[in-house]
Amino acid sequence: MKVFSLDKILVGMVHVGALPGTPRYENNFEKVIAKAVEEAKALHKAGFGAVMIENMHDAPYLKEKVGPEIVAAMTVVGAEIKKAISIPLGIQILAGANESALSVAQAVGAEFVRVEGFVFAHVADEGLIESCAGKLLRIRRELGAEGIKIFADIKKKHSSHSLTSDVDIVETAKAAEFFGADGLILTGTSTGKAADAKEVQEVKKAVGIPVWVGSGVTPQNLAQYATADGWIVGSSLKKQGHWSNPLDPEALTKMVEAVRKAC
Amino acid sequence: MFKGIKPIIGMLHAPALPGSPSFSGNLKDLHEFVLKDAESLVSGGVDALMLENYGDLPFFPGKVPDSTVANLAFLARKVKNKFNLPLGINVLRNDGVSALAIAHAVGAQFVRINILSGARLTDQGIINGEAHEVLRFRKKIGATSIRVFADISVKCSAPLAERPLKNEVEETLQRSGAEGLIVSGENTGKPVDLNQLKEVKNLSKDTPVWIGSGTTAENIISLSRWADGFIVGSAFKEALSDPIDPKRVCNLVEKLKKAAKK
Repeated sequence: MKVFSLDKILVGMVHVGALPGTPRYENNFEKVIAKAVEEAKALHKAGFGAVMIENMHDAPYLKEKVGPEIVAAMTVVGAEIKKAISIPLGIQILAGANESALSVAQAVGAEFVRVEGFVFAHVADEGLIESCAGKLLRIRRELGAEGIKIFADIKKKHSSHSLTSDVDIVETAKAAEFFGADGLILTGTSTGKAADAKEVQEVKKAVGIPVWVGSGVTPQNLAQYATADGWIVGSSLKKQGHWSNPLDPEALTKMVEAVRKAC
Repeated sequence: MFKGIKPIIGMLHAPALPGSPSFSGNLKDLHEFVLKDAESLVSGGVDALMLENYGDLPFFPGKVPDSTVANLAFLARKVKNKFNLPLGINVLRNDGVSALAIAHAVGAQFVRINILSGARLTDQGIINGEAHEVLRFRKKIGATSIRVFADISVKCSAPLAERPLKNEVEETLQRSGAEGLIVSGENTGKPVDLNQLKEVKNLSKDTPVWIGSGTTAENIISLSRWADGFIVGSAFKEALSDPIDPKRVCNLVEKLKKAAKK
């Protein structure tokens, strides 16, 4: 397994088109693959440090378990991207299908997965999501996939956290580190919404693992998150800053420049 | 779909995948092993390839883990990208849904399903036919062009209740939607019963009948009187876990070609 530097990494999202069996699938999977590969190449070329694929167009998402059609489809998309780029690749399968993501990552040789619901529990738009850490790390070992890093969302976007209102973000971060996360991800309230810069700093101080910002990062606000170890960017790379629009080449360049300036 | 008049499908037996008891821990070597086998089959002149998780013993009776799906999809795509031959998927022991999912994602053309109709007592326990799920799933994911080949009285199993072959064949075709039938012997590498083959062929009418075990360079000519095609694995190897021997592939393919010319 290739090791990649976790210091100051800019991760570009590829929101994979609707996959077979999902409500918005357009019956042309090769087209879905080609578009994802093209976007990944554009991110690589613009100077991004890593690419992450996510089945974002599969909404409404299934909770925690997706069918083999999604696992197979994400594997093929991941494999074709891996061939086309030489920067690290991450896998996320919505919603909280973390075992599936890990399996895909191992098969295609990806370097990391983004995991929701790693510790504690929250109510997401898919329903109640509970901690997956115990099971996930056992499966990772069983598969011999320990080289794949797990980046865990804490108090993630699109969710209610009233269940854990007496556990603050720092405590949550410490719990995730104790449970074996290789890195943490902080987000705002939803896709494209900015994370709280103060929280990022507090968490960064409290844990010894990398802390990434996972939503709402723009070239304008990136300096606020300069203490973070990485930034996952999707929406702000798209035309009109909306995740479902095509990539805006100019936005890619601006984002890379903003990171270079901030570091 | 197939070029040859009596096509030969060469088996790609994937070594144990991650999560399986015999997994070697080295995925890169595993990928190379399968690609090398594919190369040997293609250079030997087979008409199609079929990938199977043969190393995953003991097999799950039904649903396989995500990890198996992902690793088979990865291998199948690699093979598909490199060799321009029809490709089939068989997910042992009887995960037709995952086989279709993989086939659709990688652009493969057919799947083999061991128990599509009825129920059998197998070395994995009792397995029920899953035609109802397989055909609905195929429609759901938009994969109706992928052909479903089904075994009749599959190897390594016994009928739970013996029924006339005629009923089994007719139900597998008409009520379970098989688009190809596979006849096999007692187990992997064992020859088929010639009488059974003849009977299935007579009943299947226009639906192709494949030989699913025990085809050799010695018996392929006599089998070809009744069979429409051959799925061959063991005969291409010295031992089952060995790599495919391209000479054995050539030999068998040439035998069939020569006979066809006559």
